[in-house]
Amino acid sequence: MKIEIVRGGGVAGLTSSTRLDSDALSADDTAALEGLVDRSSLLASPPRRASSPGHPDELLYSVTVGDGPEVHTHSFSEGDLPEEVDALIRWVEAHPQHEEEITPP
Amino acid sequence: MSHIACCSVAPPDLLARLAEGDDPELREAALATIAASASMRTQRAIIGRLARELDRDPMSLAFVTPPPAHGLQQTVYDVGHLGRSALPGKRVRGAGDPPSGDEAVDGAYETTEATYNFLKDGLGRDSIDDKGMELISSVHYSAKFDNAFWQGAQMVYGDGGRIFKQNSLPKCLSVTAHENGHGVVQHTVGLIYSKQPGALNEAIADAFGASATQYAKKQTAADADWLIGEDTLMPPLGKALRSMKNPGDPDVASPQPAKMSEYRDLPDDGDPRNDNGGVHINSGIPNKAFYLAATTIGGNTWEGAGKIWYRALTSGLLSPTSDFKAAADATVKVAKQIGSASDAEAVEAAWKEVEVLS
Repeated sequence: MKIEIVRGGGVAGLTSSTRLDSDALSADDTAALEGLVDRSSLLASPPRRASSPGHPDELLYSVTVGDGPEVHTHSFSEGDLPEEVDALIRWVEAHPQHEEEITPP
Repeated sequence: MSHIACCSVAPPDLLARLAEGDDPELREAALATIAASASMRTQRAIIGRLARELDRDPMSLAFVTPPPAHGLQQTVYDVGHLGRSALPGKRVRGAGDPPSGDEAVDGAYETTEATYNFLKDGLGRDSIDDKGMELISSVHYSAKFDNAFWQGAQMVYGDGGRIFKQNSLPKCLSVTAHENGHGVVQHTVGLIYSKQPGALNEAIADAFGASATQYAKKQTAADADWLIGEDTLMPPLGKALRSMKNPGDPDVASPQPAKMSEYRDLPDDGDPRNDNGGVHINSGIPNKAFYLAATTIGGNTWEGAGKIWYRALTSGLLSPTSDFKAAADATVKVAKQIGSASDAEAVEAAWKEVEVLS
């Protein structure tokens, strides 16, 4: 399973990307990641699009989850980010094996 | 009637639940009770929460806004690294309270106070809504959250960690005044946060950020650095978020276009890479126009270009969908009304230099 989180907007207007590949994880961490993805319903629901226009300087998120041939991308604003997706994002960000990139828009 | 009596002793959370419920009578009673509550802070917290949960503009709840108070009303809350549902968080410091010892709390308090003083004494505006609105700040939002934003009813600051230095955002006056500037835009023109009107919203917020900083430092337009978010970023990312003097400065985090021929027409499609249609990108164009007008008019920014931009914002000349050209026309018109002939020429020349006027 591969997951990519892209954040944009915000007061800085920068784009930051965080990636994590379950191939690089322990069995326990893979199970934890899969559990969080299940609870987020990102693989089971049609693509979501962030509400627009949002509040000034809110972060915008896109979350892409790929599991084999299935790849799903959803976008959210800070104001409509479901708690289950927020929990997934926090877990990926906190995992020591994530890769990160920050770029100008 | 009985509902109102019942609600008058109800705790804030119960009032909020009743106000969100399906029973119209209970909803009205709960809202009326909130309005009558003795605690302004509680009211503000509930109004903010209702606005978020009902997805309504806080201004639409203005009928429950308490009567205006005199002087700065502000409260800083600690969200305790929780998310949106925990806003505003635990009250830590109110107006007149001594420092808390938490650098984020005290930073937000001091920059909010400086912003209020700029609005009141520099522009003659009584807080964000010009009616003495209490300024609410929440710090320690979420985990390693790299952002500060205006949530529609209050300020929210993260601690930073990857993009921003730890707790640098609430301590930076140009950031706090920028976010409060979004609040002023919301309570005046209400520019939509998309494409050119969104970029104009951003540029006006940056103008508030730069002007409040200059006011606090007693700097003239010529002496100022015109940076937004100075000294907040992790060192590799640049000296500031943006430069109004030189939007394309390679040493800032987000080099921007400075004239219309460099405009980046991005879609507002929910993709975070496209930044609501380039609102933080194309704001470089009106940012540069403001800098040019301010430095050409000379003296203190808030007495020259700042006064003209603010009057344009509050004069009814702009609408929620106004673009750069509408802002140029409005500021030139205001400059002719309230400034000297040379002021009007400076404003017109500024918009011509950035290729908004021809």
